[in-house]
Amino acid sequence: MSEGSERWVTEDVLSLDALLQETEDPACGALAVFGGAVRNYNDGRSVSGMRYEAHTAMAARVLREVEEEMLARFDIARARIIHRVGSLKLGEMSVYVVVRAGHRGPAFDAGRWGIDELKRRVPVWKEEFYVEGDSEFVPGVPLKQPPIGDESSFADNNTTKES
Amino acid sequence: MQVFVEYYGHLRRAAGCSAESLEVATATPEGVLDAVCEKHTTIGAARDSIAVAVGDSLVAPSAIIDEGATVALLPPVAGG
Repeated sequence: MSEGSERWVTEDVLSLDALLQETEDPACGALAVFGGAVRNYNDGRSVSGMRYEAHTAMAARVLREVEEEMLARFDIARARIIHRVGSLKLGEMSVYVVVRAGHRGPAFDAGRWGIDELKRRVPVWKEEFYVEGDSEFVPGVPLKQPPIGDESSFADNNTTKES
Repeated sequence: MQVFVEYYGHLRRAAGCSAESLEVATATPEGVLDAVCEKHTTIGAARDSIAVAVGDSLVAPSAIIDEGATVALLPPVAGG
């Protein structure tokens, strides 16, 4: 883990209590939480566990940017996202998205947007282990590469603007 | 020139290692992918879906890569 990245990407068991405490805000009447957990089936097969891996430095940077974009796009006061990596058992939480806002509408909207962006932009992969003993990597979404001719890095261009 | 290539997700399994030093003829992401696909032929079929990162950012196919740089090959992502 690179220094500071553990705020967004961690090998530790996720603590929802810590995120709720961190985001406490007396001006917020709404709290929306999305949590992703390891499911016991996928695509017709019985799953026994999951191993998550990340490009940690890039994943942490993109998650920080998604949080910042949630705050800019929606009428919310707090946004936090954390993703776990390593080997997880069935039922363990792999990700939390926590949003606090004055009202429930933007809280729900921002949370949904945040997890959708995570799935599209954050370099995390999952290897699914099955009860038969084999494993497969879960198919994903290709990252958008900068266009040919753009010799700069591509720190921010994966962002899409809402209409 | 030599670069240090990191493999993620199913690419690590296809390459048989998580990282390795490779000699590349052209110092660009395309050049790195050429060298990788030549050495690991099973990665060739997935080439168009692979993104290339240096440091914590994606880089364009024509970007210049420095001698000895660490280059990460990122297959389609599946977080959450």
